[in-house]
Amino acid sequence: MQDNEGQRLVQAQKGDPQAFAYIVEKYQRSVYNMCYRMLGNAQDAEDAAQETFLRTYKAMRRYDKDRSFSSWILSIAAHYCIDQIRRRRFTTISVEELPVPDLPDISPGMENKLSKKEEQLRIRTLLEILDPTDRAAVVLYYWYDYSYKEICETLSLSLSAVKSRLHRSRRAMALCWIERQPATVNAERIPA
Amino acid sequence: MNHKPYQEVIFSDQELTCDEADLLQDHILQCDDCYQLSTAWSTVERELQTPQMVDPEPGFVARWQVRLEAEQERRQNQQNMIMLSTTWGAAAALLIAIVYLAIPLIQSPKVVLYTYLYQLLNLFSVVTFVQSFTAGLMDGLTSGIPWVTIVFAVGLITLMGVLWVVSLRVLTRSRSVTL
Repeated sequence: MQDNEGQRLVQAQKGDPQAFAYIVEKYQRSVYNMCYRMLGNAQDAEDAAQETFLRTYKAMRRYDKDRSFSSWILSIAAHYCIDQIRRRRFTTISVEELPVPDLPDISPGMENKLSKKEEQLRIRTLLEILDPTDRAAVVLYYWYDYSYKEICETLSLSLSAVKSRLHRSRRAMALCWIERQPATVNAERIPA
Repeated sequence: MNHKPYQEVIFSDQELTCDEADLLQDHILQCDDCYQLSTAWSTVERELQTPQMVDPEPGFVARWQVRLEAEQERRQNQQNMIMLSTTWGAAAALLIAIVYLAIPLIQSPKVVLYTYLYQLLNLFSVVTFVQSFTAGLMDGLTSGIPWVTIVFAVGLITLMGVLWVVSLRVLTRSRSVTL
């Protein structure tokens, strides 16, 4: 399987569009998910994922075979999304004003669908408060199970920077959670 | 009370030792702020670990292929536009240069015509001079040499010239290589 992928990568580097289509097929989910978590809605995520593959296609000749392709392509996606978020800041609108994204539904029940949407909105609210690079680090850590070292490589950061960014992000998300649901958190207080 | 070390532990993803866990637990029971943070972070962490990967809408690859074709077409058009503008720019520059050079001709065509005629006549006189000089030189050189020697020398030079051309062609001919 790995050899097959290696062959496809070599063919794609030579400019074979069919081989690259295989790569798009294989990595579409992880790239799309990264863009979705970073940008927060399906339309922007689709555009960003498409753009990521376009940039990857153009940069294919520069791909270093010693590096993991997955981390390389996610690096392109993350950097593109970080740029998009920074540009978007000039026209900021609050999370509540944004429509809840339409996610492809795999569950039959209506309740399940609503619960999934609520869950996505809660997560989106938490991620929205983070700086774009911190957000990328959180996404890579929690959704892709990347190690600190892999996050360093993907986001071009030092190890200490990754650790401090993750620590800062956890704190920020916890504080955001307290601000938004103070009653719930306080109600669960266990008496000493 | 210093909360910082406890909050460091709350947000750390390292495994806690039993002692550290006990210390944290004791502190949390006494401190409302750290309790709130700890509870909130546990909930947030659960939220972050629950969600699945999100899939794109079906047909992503086909949409990407369409986008790639559109991008390639856009780049091709861009290159064509650059090429066209460069050509048009060069043509415009050439036209301006020609107009600039033609201004004197338009203003005083007679002077330009006389100048060209004078240059042409000068050229003829140079050619005539070279012709008479070469004829005189040849007469001087060949007057003391018998005709047989001249014919032999010319023949020899021609033969050597032919040999030189033939050998050059043979040496420079491309050869097919079979492995």
